[in-house]
Amino acid sequence: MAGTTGMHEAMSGYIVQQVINGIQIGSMYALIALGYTLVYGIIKLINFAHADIFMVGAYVAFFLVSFSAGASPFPFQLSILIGLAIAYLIVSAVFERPFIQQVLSKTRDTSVSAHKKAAFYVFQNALWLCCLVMVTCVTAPALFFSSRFVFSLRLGPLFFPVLIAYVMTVCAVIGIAMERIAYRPLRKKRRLSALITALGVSYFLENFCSLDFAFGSAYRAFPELITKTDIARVPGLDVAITNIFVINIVVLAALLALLWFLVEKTLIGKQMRAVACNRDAASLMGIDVNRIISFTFAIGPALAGVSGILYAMNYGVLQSPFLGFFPGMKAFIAAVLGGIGSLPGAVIGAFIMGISEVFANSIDSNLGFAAAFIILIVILLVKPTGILGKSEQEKV
Amino acid sequence: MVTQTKQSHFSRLIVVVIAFVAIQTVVGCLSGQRQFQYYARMAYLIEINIILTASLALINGYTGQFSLGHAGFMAIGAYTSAAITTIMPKILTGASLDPSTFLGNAGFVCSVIAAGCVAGVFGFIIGFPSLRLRGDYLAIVTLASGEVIRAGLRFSNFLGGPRGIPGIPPFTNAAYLGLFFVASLWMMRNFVYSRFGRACIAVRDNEIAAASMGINVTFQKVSAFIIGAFFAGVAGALFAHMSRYINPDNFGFLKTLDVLIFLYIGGSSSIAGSIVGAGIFTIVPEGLRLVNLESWRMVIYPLILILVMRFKRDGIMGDRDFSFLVPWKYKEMVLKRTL
Repeated sequence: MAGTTGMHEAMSGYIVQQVINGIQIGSMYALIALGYTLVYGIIKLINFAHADIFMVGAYVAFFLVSFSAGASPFPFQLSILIGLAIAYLIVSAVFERPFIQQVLSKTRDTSVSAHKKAAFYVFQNALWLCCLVMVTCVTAPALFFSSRFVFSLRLGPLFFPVLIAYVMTVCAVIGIAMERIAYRPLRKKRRLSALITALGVSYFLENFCSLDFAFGSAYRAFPELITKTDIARVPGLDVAITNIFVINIVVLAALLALLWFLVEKTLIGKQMRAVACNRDAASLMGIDVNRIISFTFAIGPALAGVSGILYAMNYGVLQSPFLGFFPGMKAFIAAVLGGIGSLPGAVIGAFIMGISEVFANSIDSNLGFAAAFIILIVILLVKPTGILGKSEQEKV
Repeated sequence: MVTQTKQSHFSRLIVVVIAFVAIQTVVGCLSGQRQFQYYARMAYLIEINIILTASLALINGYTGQFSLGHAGFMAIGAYTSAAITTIMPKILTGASLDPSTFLGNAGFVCSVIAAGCVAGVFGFIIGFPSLRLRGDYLAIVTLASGEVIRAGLRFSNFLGGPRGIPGIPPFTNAAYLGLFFVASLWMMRNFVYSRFGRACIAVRDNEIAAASMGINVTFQKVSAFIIGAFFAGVAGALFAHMSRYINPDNFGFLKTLDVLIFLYIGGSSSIAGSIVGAGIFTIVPEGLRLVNLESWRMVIYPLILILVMRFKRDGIMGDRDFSFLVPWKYKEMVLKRTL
């Protein structure tokens, strides 16, 4: 009798421990899934590159942490990439000014001869490129020295929040630049083109970051940011709650509160909801749709970047720049499971995915691999709108 | 466009076939020599990639579905044929099929066809969600199906599990490849330029209009999946007997992405697009390898894909096809519409 109770206790302890592990992974997935759901809700595009922004977040965190630990010099390649993205945004914003557009639109004048037009076209693009290079020459060093200065300070307990803020900013810049370069020109075309482009962007980011002068494809051990300790035990059961788990939950809760405030209580959140509801009507109401979409592409990637930090902390290792694929897929499935477009749905779905993954993995690692996809197929065939999704009639 | 006579059309077709046979013979003769082995292998790989790309074109380009699970079909084909030529004979007689015997060759041909059929069955299963889902959701479900197939292969110890199947006999030679290549392309071309193909295009362009014209949309979609999967399975079988070693990770999502890139850069709605896309983009990385830029291949491909999507959405060929591939009867029709 006593033996059965002991086994029973051990079993329930095991289950509780697995659920806690699942919630830890799930909070990481939730932050990615929110980005998928936000972007899908606004422009109806599965942003495959979202998973790679998650990867960029993890790698940026890796470089910054190993710099501040004195293990490596400050990564200049990072500041060049991000400097380039910032410069692109600045230059394209300047070129979109009405005055400059007026000057440039002279090429469209039919009275101008063809070769003059061609020459002007070349000049225009050369000018654009020169501006880009010049602005990059300013932004990249500025970024390099300012961030090196910040991270060489002895930040102490402030280090973690500063790291999160920095990674969020970097990922937001990359997200906005990605939308400007790849997705905006395709917005009026077939949706399939945008989907293929998203695949292309994802593939590009993965392979570009694998190059030696970017992040490199080597296996990297993430330095221990916070020493893992047990801070509490569940009474009566053999279950430990670690500080890493608490950090995961606290970060998720803080960002969720922030996101909720942003979406529900501010003007820009209201505009976002309007654009998600009906883009044409929103633009008729005077909402700058482009600005809202850019904003969405800043928030989603920023959350994914934080998730990248959590990933690096949870697993302690970055396999290669291709590491984003599976977490990204699982987060996407979580978003679908919760009902795409619904923010609370994404979080619930992510917890379900995390817990189911942990249990499937404890049976067989190959099963954990397939379980997520089987869940997805079943969900889409049975209830495509997900748990909290609104049913939507296909418009003809 | 120069109007052709029926005679010049068929003589061009014959010239193309003779040229292909000549090239294939030369490749086959040279493949024995050590210094040419590499080039022969390149030629084989191009042909396999063309079959794969054209089979994806049937699903993605002509019927307008968006499948991301093509590597899964290829894996099914490769594993089926390897099971028939390598695993089963090893269990029954202790050795895999011998390429020098008649029985071995007959077994290989059967295994390729069986590979196509089994892949077709999977195409039927995976094609079913396409009835309810479209666009992005279909893409994700097919991607997931491909990954489930891969996970299943890693799971099955009978098929070697994650270690894969080594020691597959080298059946794929110039003669077999030429035969299967021509036969597959010819069959796909016949599908495309038939009532069936036109119905697929109608479904792609407007499902509701197609249905109201009496086209069975369900039938078209599912059969496009089955036929596409069949030829992907054939390509997988040929690939398995060329590389002589397969494992589940050969057929991951990156393989599908490669085929997608061939397809959309070449032009998704013509056989010529598949030939051009797969042909060029199988050779280009070898050129990059010569100038030590091989790791840049994977950076350049997606960039080209993004640029093609932005500036020339229909790919290099658009919906133009090579003149020798278009049936004469169809050509008359098309010429009347001055396409």
